Amino acid sequence: MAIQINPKLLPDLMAYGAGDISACFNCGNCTAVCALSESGASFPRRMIRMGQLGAKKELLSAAEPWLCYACGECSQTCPRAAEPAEYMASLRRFQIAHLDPTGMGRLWFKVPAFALLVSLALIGVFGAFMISVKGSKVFPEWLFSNIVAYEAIHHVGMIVGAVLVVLLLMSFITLVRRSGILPLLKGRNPLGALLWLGKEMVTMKRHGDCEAKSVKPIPKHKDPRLIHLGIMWGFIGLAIATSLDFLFIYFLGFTVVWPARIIGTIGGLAMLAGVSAAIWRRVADPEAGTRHTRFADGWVLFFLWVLAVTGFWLEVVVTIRVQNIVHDWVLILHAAMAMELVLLFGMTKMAHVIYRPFMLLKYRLEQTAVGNG
Amino acid sequence: MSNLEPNEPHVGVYICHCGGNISDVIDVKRVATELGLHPNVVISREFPFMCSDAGQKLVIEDIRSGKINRVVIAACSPMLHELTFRKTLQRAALNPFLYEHVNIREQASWVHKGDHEGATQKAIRLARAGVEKILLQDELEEIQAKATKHVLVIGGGPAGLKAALNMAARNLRVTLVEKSSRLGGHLHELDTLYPSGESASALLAKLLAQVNESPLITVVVGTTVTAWDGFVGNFTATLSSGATVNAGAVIMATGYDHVIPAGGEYNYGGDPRVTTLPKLIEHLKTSAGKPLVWNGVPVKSVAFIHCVGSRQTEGVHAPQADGKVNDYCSRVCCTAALHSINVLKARQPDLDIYDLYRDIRTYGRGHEAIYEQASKNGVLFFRFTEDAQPEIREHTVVVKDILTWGEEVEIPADLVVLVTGIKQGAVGELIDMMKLPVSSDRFLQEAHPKLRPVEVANNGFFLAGNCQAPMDLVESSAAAGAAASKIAALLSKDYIPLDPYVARIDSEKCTGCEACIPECSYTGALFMNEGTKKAEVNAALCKGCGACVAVCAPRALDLAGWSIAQMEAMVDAMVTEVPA
Repeated sequence: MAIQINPKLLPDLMAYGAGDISACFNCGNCTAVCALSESGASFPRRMIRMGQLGAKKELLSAAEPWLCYACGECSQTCPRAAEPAEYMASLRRFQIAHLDPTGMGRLWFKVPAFALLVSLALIGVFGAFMISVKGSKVFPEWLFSNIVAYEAIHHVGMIVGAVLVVLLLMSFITLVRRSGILPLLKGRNPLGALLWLGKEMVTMKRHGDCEAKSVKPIPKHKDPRLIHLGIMWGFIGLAIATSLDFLFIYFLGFTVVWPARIIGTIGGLAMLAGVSAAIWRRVADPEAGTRHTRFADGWVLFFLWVLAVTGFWLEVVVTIRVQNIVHDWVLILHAAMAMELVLLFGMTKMAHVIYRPFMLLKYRLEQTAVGNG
Repeated sequence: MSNLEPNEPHVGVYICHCGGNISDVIDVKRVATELGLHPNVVISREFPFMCSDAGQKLVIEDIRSGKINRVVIAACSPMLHELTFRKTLQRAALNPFLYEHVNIREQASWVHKGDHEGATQKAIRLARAGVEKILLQDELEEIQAKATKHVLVIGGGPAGLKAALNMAARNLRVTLVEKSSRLGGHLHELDTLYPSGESASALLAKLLAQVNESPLITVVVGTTVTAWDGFVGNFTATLSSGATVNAGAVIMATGYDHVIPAGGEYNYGGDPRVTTLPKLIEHLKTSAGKPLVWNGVPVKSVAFIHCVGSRQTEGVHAPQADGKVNDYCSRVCCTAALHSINVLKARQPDLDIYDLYRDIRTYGRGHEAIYEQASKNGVLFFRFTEDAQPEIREHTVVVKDILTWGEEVEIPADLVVLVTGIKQGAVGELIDMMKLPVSSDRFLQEAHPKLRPVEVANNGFFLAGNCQAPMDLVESSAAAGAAASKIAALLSKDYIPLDPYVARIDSEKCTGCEACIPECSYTGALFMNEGTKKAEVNAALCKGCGACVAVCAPRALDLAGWSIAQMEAMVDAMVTEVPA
């Protein structure tokens, strides 16, 4: 099937943060300088050409954007200022935004005002919900159950939850179909590829390779791989702590504070440090690769940062058992933002948690298929 | 020291080092010494640069002191400095044809770098041959052909107009003959001109006004040249009107024809949505400022396909009328297409434009900026190879795009513009009549692409514009100016000096056998005198090729300056052993 051309796609890609890739005249410096490009693969050039052509189908199905870790050396080397690194980042946004069947994902990335409004509105909705449930201390007399029957609230919650699950499922099906991974799995045992993926996710080895070959030495405090490992492992630590807490209460009937508390604290600190460094890196010293950061990217970092800070705040408050209405407000904010982050998982940058591993698996399957053939 | 009689040839031999080019390989001292042994050589020197002022002065002083009356210089190629040294002799008041230029650089030092002894021996043999030749040289005189101070320009396009104006500015009378009913040629078809963007109509109006104002230019339109006679300085052209024009020189400014795509090539002729660049430009000219509408349908996307009728390959493309393909590059079409694209984009910024090329050749000054502008205008470029031509389908063009790693790409296109090339105009009869040299691509051929770029090997013929090769207006204008100044120099005196190296005939010996007549390739150069029944030579037309000399049994014919006796003496000198 011939590639379908659409020159009108380029302005759209630019709305996702791409630079003027039409300036590219195919010299190949980006491919030459890229630590992750392999012989025979025109990475990242092929993606730029597809962008110039507006080959939407090819752009959406490509694994290449997820093989890139945005070191930015291609953008620094580009003689035409086409900014390949920013372009690859914009393709990641473009792909995620096109998962969401409602079309809101696209608006989320392209229209910062929309993202801001939705974000604030959701904090308001979740906050209001938190305020008006039984036990909330900020306005104890405000109760949903005074206006609407508790049953109705419960049913609405269930329906919203079900719709969310359906939407996430649809997004995932879109991802599977678009990526073309199923034909790659036909008649093959994916265990090896999955093991490779697991190792890759835990260590981010490819990202490490990328940085090891970097022309310019990267200071540790600005090292994107360390930053990402901090955020990721912090997240995982918090997840483990929460699960442990839950399991102890559920099975033993009481909570064993210290194992969960220690893991949670370390995780929280790692995440806070990682997110702070990530924000600082973008604000104080934007380099090639982070210059075109979108509102939607900053939003995730901001949310994670606020969640981490408020999380510690509440931890301290619970530990030393102080009572103040401010702490109740903080709890409401923390809970509302956490709920929003989960609700919007499928259409924000958070989706990369699924997207990148998925595309890395596809890449691995393709690589090993070539090797076998 | 000389025991020669004063009236005998006294030869001066000079061996040039050429700053090491010769002396690094050849033992120049030994060559000079060896040549000095010849009984007729009274001076034999070697010198670092004979062509320098000091070198020439040396020769002049030796002549003026009365020591020598013949000169042999062994140096570079005569192409480079034979004329230099002829003029040196002239300055010393010696007949310039008593000079022999021996090439020991290209023919010895450069080609025998690894064999110093062999190169030295060869230089000695070549220089000896030069001495033997000059000993038998007559005091030849330049041939002087009458210079008619009137120039015929054939073709009234921009090149012809510019050439006529340039010559009129030098006070030469010009007759400008144009085949069609109006002056201006292809300039009538064009809209705006790259790289300046000025209007073609305005430029043409300016040129025509200047031509009309000039009292020295006679314009004849709707007229062709039907018969041709004469030689440099004195041509006679017969026109289709019956009139004759007497001219000292002629400028060929016959222009070009557009290549029309062969039947069915890219569906041309069958699909109304497929057109050519010249037709698009004509449309642009008549629809200034308006959005593009083709056959009544508004156009949203246009695909340009380059190299149609140019850079063709046998087996891939249909041959032209003469059975050959156009394998040359038409040069101007890339920039012309991109210029038109920019014009379209300026009118209609939302028009989608696709450019399918094999190579973009925006070679000229300011051309690259036009390509750059097209890129900035959002034109999408695709590259194809000659063996995978784009395919025209319903509203799309499908191409295997090299820039997308050979993947098949489907391009939407409401209009396909074939960027057609340039070919030699219908001037076959004229070329046959004038016996002009034609290159393998059917264009008229210059005498030398660098040293004589607007002259034809045939004396008195000059080239201006596209009859020589595909050129844009800037280049044909420059060529017209160059041809005009060449002619101004040629016709600046009352006569035209020609080399005396032509055939001469000894009427006493001629038996009137006529064997020589069919050998001569130059009309009118060799003919039978009906009265005396003997062969005669027209020195102005003879090229000195020697074909007639070779067949002349009674040896009545000989070449001045390259006589049979000279050749024999040279061969004898060359085969004489050189002492080690």
